Amino acid sequence: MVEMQNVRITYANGEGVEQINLRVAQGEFVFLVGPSGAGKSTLLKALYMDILPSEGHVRIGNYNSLFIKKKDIPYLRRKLGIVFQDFRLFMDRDVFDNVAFTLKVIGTRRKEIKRRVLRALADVGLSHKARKMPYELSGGEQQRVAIARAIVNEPFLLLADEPTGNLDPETAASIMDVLERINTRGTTILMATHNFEMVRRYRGRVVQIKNGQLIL
Amino acid sequence: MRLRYLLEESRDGFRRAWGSCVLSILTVAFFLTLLGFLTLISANISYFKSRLNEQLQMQAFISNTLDDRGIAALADKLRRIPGVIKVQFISKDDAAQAFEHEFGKEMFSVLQENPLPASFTLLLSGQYNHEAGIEQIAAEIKQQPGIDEVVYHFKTWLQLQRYASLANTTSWILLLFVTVGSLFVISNNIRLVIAARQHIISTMRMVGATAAFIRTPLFIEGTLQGMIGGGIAAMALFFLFEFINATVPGVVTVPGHILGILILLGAALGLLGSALAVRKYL
Ligand SMILES: Nc1ncnc2c1ncn2[C@@H]1O[C@H](COP(=O)(O)OP(=O)(O)O)[C@@H](O)[C@H]1O
Ligand SMILES: [Mg+2]
Repeated sequence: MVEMQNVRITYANGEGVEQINLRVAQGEFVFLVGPSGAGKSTLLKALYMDILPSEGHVRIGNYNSLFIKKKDIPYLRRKLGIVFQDFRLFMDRDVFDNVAFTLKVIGTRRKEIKRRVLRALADVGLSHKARKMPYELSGGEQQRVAIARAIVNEPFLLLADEPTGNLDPETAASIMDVLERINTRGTTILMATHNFEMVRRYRGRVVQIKNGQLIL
Repeated sequence: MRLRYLLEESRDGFRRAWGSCVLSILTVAFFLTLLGFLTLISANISYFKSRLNEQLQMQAFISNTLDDRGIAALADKLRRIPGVIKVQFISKDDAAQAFEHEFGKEMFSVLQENPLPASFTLLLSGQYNHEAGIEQIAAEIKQQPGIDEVVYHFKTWLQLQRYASLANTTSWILLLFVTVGSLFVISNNIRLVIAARQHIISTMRMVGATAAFIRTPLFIEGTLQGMIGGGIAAMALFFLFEFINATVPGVVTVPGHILGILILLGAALGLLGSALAVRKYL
């Protein structure tokens, strides 16, 4: 379902990733672990095709980085959910509208939006805070809103870049619970983290990355 | 794409950079008012001119030494000059009569003979309705043996002609400035909107918004700004010319299509300005 073959991405300053070979099967939970600067975010960017590799190829479902056209990238993204360390919520609208944003952007009907947003908020345990503004929420709750926004369109692959990086261990654990639950329901998850400790405590395949290369 | 979404996003863009939005609307309005003013002036001058065109006449005075046959031959020659439509002979007696009619008989009671020369009244073709044309015909007539002097009352007309072409040239130069200036302020405003919405736009990209979906609100915003600027300019000019008309009735007219063109021009500048900003900054 997800395949990276001999992928190289080099930034202007010579940094980046190379010789990346990775396959992720449907329904897997994969941790991408490595120290800061190892190339985790770069690898994820290759997956959501924010950067196209200069060597090798990335294949996600029917999309291949070798053949994809710029105008097709939005349609690839609609099949992915993406979560970041810094939440990236909109401070000028409430929780419901933050989650609804994904669906609005792809032109979903209003009735359908309501149904799906309430569903996603229930999945992350925030139904009761639908009309709260992001700044009224704790960090953990804000990240759960971000996750709800990522899964509201029922993606087959959820990419999470250090989703617990800004949170204390207890809150991080609650986010992990949410992610595990989503994974159990069939969504494939690829989560990048620099926290080796945490990874040990959860089920899932661990892939290590260092200096831009995967450690086998 | 939902209309509702477009309206919401455009309003949102206005909220995020309303100061620069108002500034760019006013700047465009100012530019277009200036441009529209000059265009209206030159339109009014050409309208005024077209009313004068029917009376394009020239008078050529005939030397006293010419006899009737000489005069007839001269008239034939004048008729053959390109641009001369009609040649009408006015004899010394005709001239005296006209003079008496205007001034009374006093002069002739003092003088023994009629001092007024015979002349031709020439009617000119509208084609020669410009400074060079008129002067060319006048010169040609004047060099005919037997013609003493050529008189034409086109001084005012020529002056108008000069003002009209000055206003015309200025409008074209101004159009250039207005275009560049308006494009600059509008694209700058859209740049600010893009900067203010960087966060939203990058999230839109993450969740799979198409390029058109992200751009269209920005295009709408730029177009609206230009159109409102054009509308303000059209209104200002309309009231200005109405005021002139009320003060001195009948001197000016306001061709409606010029005002319409101003609004369309504003909209076009707005669309182009936002397209430039989108190309460069998005
Ligand atoms: N936009 C960029 N331009 C130049 N170098 C970059 C850029 N992004 C990341 N890098 C470099 O590439 C390497 C991998 O970065 P990144 O993928 O962000 O690592 P991680 O997410 O594991 O911390 C680092 O050395 C980083 O400095
Ligand atoms: Mg990173």
